[in-house]
Amino acid sequence: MKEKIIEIIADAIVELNEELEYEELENVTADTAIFGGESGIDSLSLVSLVVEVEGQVNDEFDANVTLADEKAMSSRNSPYRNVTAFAEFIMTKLGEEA
Amino acid sequence: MLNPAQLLQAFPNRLALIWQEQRISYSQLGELVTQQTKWMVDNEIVSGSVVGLKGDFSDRSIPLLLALLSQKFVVALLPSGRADLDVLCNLVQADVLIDTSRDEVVVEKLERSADYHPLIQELFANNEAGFVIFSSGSSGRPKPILHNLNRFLKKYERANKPFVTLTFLLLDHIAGIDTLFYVLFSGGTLVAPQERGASAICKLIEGAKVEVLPVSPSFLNLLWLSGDFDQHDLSSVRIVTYGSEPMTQQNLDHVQVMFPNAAIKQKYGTSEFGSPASKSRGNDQLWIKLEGDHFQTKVVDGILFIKSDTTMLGYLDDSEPMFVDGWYNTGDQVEVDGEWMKILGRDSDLINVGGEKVFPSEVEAVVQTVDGVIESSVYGESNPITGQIVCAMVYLQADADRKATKKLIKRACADQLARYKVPVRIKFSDTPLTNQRQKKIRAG
Repeated sequence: MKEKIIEIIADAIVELNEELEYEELENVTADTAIFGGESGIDSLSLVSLVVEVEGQVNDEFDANVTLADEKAMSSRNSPYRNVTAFAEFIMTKLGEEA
Repeated sequence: MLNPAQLLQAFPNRLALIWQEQRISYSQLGELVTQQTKWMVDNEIVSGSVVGLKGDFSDRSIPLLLALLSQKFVVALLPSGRADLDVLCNLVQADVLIDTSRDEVVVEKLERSADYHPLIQELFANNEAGFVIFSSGSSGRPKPILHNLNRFLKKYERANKPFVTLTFLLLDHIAGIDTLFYVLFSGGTLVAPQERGASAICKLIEGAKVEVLPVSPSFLNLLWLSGDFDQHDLSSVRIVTYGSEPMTQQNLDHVQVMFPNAAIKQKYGTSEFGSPASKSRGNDQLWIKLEGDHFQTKVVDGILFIKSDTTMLGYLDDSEPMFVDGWYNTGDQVEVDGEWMKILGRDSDLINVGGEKVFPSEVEAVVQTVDGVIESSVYGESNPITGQIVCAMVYLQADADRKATKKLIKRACADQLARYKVPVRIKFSDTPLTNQRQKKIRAG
């Protein structure tokens, strides 16, 4: 399941990067930084990515989770900091719903 | 009469501007203004005309703006990120377009299609300077708002706290102009960023020891999400101000964690009259009090009205100003508790993406042009990252491919609209949108 989620996130990043053309996003791995620090994307791209992944995850797992909510914002370690963190956040969300 | 360039003589040795690696004193800034004045003469840009000015805060745009205003021009501050600058210049009958946003300053002489607006003619007749801010008008057409410079500057005469201030808010926004003049009048230091990502801003705060941080709630939200605040020393920040969009309690709580030493103040303002001095009830509070000699407020039926000496001269298009007996109807709903009030925002279709306003109709107009689209309804959805996001509900022709059309819609919007206006979520409806349920989505 985690692999599938990482794949969904990676695909969405690659698609997003068709327009951004950031070198560091050409090869997406579990460690790829998404938001924060030197690398990564801006807020509009982040929102777009999160909504896209949300749609794909809900289709794939026949779920209805929201991936941008107060909980996502409240932690001192953002779930959007890298691919693994985002995938783990999504798994928690799916687990809560099941 | 006030001459903005004279301002610079009050504190010759103080630091006026930090831009890139440069540290420019007030006397050096004065020299730059003189150079720009000469440059204008060389380029046959003559007083008593209207100039469209494009560019972010820089060592070029700031002295040029001060030179233009001192020489009694009317300066239209052109919004960044718009492709239709010729349309905007035409709205104000600009004679020249100056673009300082590139490495080389570009000057373009324009042909006016009509006489200046009577309000501009009056300014010129009285030998006064003015400036124009474009606010997002209904249907997305920008509304040109004309201010009399002298009248606008009155409220800064008592500016006396010379802080090191980050110019986060753009020069073409009324809040950016507010930052500029407050700092120059008080003898403070402007710190102009070249990019506005969380990491870049944190570095700048740390390096320049920024004391005042006037930002948007969205930026504060992103700063929290990025985690960058933990990687830098932000302890120089004494005041954080925010405005332009609703602030959530959660976001406000995070701001206190990120800036434990800072006073956190909400600002309220509009392009029509600028921003009065304000006081927040507490660092953790969304209640504010608007004060200052030049502003009066009253609340009628839950709507905020403002009367101010710094109010605009008027709109330069056919927009009707919302004045009742000299009181300006802000259209903003407020909650009142004694002398305090809480700004609830507008009850309208307007979508607020990180402080930038989006009108559904302007997005719908583009979505409508995409092959296969029969109908669309654009609406806002709340989102903790940018406050709201733009969403579109679309009804397609039966044979249209949804996935392909979604891409086409995004591309068409990206080509024709500012980035924040591009729908983030696109949903497809199986039925025409004319029924009540769909209409409601938009109203909600």
